[in-house]
Amino acid sequence: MFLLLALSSACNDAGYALVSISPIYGWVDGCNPVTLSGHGFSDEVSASVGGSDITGITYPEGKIDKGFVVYGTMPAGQHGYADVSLRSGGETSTLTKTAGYYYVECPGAGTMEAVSPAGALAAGVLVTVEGCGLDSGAVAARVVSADGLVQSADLPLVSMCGTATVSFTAPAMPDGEYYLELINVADGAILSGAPCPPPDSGDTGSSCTDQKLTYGGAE
Amino acid sequence: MITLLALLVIPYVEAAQSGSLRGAVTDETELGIPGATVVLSGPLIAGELQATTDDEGNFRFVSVPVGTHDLKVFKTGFPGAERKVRVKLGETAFVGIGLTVGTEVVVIEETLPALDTSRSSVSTELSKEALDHLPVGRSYQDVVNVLPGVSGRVDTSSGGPSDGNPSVRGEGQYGNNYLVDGISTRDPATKTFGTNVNFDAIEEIQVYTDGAPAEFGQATGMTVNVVTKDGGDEHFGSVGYFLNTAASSGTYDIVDLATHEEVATDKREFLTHSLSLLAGGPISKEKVWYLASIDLGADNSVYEGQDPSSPYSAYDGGGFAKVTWFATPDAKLRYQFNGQLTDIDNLLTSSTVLPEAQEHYQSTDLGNQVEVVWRPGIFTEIDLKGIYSVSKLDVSPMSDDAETPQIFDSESGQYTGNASAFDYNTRSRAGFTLTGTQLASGKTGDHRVKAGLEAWQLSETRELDYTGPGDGLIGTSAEGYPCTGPDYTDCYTRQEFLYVGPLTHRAIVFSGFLQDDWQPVDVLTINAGMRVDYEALYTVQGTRILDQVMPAPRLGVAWDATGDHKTKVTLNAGQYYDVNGAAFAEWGDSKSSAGYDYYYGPYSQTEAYFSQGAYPLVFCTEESFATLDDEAQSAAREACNGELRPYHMDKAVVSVEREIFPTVAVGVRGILSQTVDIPEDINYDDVNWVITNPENKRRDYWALEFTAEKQFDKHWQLLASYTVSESTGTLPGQFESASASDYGGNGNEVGVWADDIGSAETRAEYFDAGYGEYVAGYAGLGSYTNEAGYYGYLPYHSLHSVKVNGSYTFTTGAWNHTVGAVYEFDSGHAWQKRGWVPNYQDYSALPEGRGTRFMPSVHYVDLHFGESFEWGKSQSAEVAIDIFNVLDLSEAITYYENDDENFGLTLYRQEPRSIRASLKVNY
Repeated sequence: MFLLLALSSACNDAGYALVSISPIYGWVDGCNPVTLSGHGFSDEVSASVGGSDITGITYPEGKIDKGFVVYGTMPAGQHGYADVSLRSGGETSTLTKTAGYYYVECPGAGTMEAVSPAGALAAGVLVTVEGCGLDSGAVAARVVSADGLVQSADLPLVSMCGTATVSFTAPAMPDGEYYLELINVADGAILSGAPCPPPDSGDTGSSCTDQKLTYGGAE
Repeated sequence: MITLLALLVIPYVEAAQSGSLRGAVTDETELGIPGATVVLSGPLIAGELQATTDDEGNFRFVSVPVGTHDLKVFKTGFPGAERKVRVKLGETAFVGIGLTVGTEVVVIEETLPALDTSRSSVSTELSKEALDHLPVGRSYQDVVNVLPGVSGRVDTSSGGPSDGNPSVRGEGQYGNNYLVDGISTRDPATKTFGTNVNFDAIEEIQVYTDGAPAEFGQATGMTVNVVTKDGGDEHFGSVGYFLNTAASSGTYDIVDLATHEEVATDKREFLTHSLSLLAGGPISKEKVWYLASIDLGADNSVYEGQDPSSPYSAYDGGGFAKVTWFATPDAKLRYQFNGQLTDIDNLLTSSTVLPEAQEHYQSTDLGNQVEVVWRPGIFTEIDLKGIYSVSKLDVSPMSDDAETPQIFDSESGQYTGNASAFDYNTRSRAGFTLTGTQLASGKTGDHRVKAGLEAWQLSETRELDYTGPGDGLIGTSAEGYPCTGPDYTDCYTRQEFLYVGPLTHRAIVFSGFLQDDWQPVDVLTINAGMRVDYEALYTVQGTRILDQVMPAPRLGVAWDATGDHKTKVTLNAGQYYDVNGAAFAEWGDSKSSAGYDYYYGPYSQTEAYFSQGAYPLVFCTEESFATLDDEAQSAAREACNGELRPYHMDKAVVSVEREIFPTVAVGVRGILSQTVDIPEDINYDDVNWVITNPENKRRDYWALEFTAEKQFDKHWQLLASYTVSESTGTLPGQFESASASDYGGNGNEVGVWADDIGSAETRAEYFDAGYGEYVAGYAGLGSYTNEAGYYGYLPYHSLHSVKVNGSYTFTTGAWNHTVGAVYEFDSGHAWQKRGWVPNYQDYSALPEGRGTRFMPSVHYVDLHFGESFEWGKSQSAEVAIDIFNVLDLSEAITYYENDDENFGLTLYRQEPRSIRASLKVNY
């Protein structure tokens, strides 16, 4: 009896489980890449968060991570915690509550996190803006010099992924340094993009992000 | 049944450590012969021991020195009988002697039964003589690896080969107790082994892996009792020289942290010399004995990837001395001294440490033991032992420069500057044990009752002195502080050491035990015991912050199923507590004004989370609550899972063993244990922490084990086992006693569980405030709701383990030729990915869960060849060659676990083949 028990378990199998998602939080707008980790993943998995599918599931190429990790893109969600589920080999494993995913409310329309490319710009280059609250119908882009004396016309945004990723075509501008501003189409108000103030000595808490753009030359 | 215990005609006094002997004298019809005189003598017994057989021909010696003795039986009308008997520590050997009328003296070969049918615990006695025939290391810490259930080939705390602290039955490297001559020498702070013992001064090593009786406590892993030699009535001694060197040249592939590839790396080169001197004998026969031993060693090594211009260079010396005075036939006094010194240049063997960042290490262990044994009556023995030991550790930069800060080059991943710290650390253990043993016999059967009291003071005094500018303020990357450059690019991780000591933390322990080996009938022994330990912990100011009572019942049954001492069926169940020790007091004392603490923060990103000073951390005890104001007390009580409870292990063992040939036994055993109430620190309101017992924090272990053992004799020995086991849990060791700074820890240091940012609401506030980075790493670290992350296979888990240890000796004339072999297989230890935790600035999360990956299976093959030549009465010369890793196997034993570019690459492989040549002369 003992021997049978021993032999029946004589394989190093840690079973199947979804253990974590990384990062564990993001804007309600979604569209950010995530890594789902655990063990015992099959070659065909599906995943969801808060009942919506996590899209673009891909698998690691190297054998080290195969079966332990998959990648995906988050859908938009409601502010607060959302359960994350992964289905593999007919089984579903779920991370709930604080072990799940947290959708953070977007602080406001036109919130920028990253701009690419930001250097060596020229007219016609497609510039991608990532952030939240980037409603292509309500927000436009504007390229402004540091002293504010030179600025482009308002540039329409095109959605690449919901309200999290948009793009615009770089206008023709003289070589030099500029800032990207996002404008409320309805009233022309600047939503984001003003140069950040210089930090105080020892200031460790600033969250201000200014988006420089450079026309001409390599950065 | 032995209804009347034999009378001891001549009182005697046992040696420091003893076993028991019982037997039966029978005639040719196997009827017991009453009134026969049984005499036990030899050089290890002062005088001789005598007993007389009872009405049924039975005799019994209560305590007999460990070792081989001459046993003689006399009875008018019968021929005499002689035989050699070997008595093992703590074991009751049974001897059957048949006398036949009309024959001359019967000389019986030494063929003791393989089984002690009166004992239900799992214990192995490794005699030094037997170990000399095996290819094993010359330390008691190494040789225990031959035993089933002991996982010691790999350092599961820091990765790489063994560090001398094995994990046993899933209880981690900090769960073992190490005794020398019956009294604990365990390190009072680190809870690892406390001292070395000169190997040639060892007589026998007793190891309890399961079911230790109540007289042994303060361990959930194994209990190792090293019994040293005693002087004896005949002079003896030895001189030995041992040379170890690498016997494998070339390279093997291990990770290069800078290029993120496995690259061909020169194998470790080393050369060690050891000299061992031993002398013992009588100063005055049957009155005063002495034993003295000196070991000297030198080790020069260049480890894999280590800069050869700064080789690891160690010198060590050990002195051991013992004097035993037989004051009267009923009383003896023993004093012994053990001193060990070690001095190491270039301690850090990692490729990431350049010569200018090297450290110097110096340790001193001094131990004094006194023992008084008194026998007030022939069935009563009282034993008082005392110990005072001090271990001193100094670690300092090789440069002796206390000003220049350590420099870490983040580009190359190397430490290029001064070493980081001076660490002066003194640990002491003072205590005594008082034990009484009483034999009794009556209508209910025979009893061997043992009771004892213990008292201990365990203390650690530590002083940390960090190099660098400012008071305990150092930089670890970039330059400048505070941040002055644009974009915060010159900010760096800050470690602020508020208090650096010297700090003394203490634990006081009182223990008592009572055990009875009760034999109601001949074929049944009941091992019943109760042990209670009480421990109090004290802060730097001497305030008691914790006291706990640990009641540990033990019950075992050993059944001689066939009534011939050849079949043993046992059932053993018990509870085992470990004391917390001085380091635990230090852990819970970080709010103390004399404590020290540190904090990290990614200052370029957000505000410091732990904004000011030490964060409050209290035990869930009334004593600790009393240090808080009313409001804080209320919050802390709410966060606690009741009063802090001592962690403990419940274990059950079932076994069947059968002697299939004389001195050869096979067996099977099943083992099940669970360790619960393991403490952990929990953050409950962003800033404050309590040390409590999280409900789901535990370790589980089960094993099914098959064994075959041939007792050592002058020809051969065998100790073989196959173990299938699972070791799972939430935390490998007792608590977070090890640093979290290395990258190959196999998860031992990834034990934090339930560290969390308070409630779901509090976490939500952090997300919404933009501080999500602080809690990001907690996913997979293990939280209140994420069981999959923290519970899993522990780092020393490997499903299958096979161990075969054996030797064969044959004789031609005065020459003895010995071949010994050790084979070990394990099916692969568990490991896991370690994820980044921003709040700790460390890879201490478990993004895929604990123990989800497995190392490759590993084989170890070691051989021993010995030639010895005997002359005179007891003179001999030995030449031996031991080859370790004969096949020069180089399987990976530790992978790089941190989730960066080096993840999954080989960090350590098996130690390359090496040879030990030894020459030893005995007299």
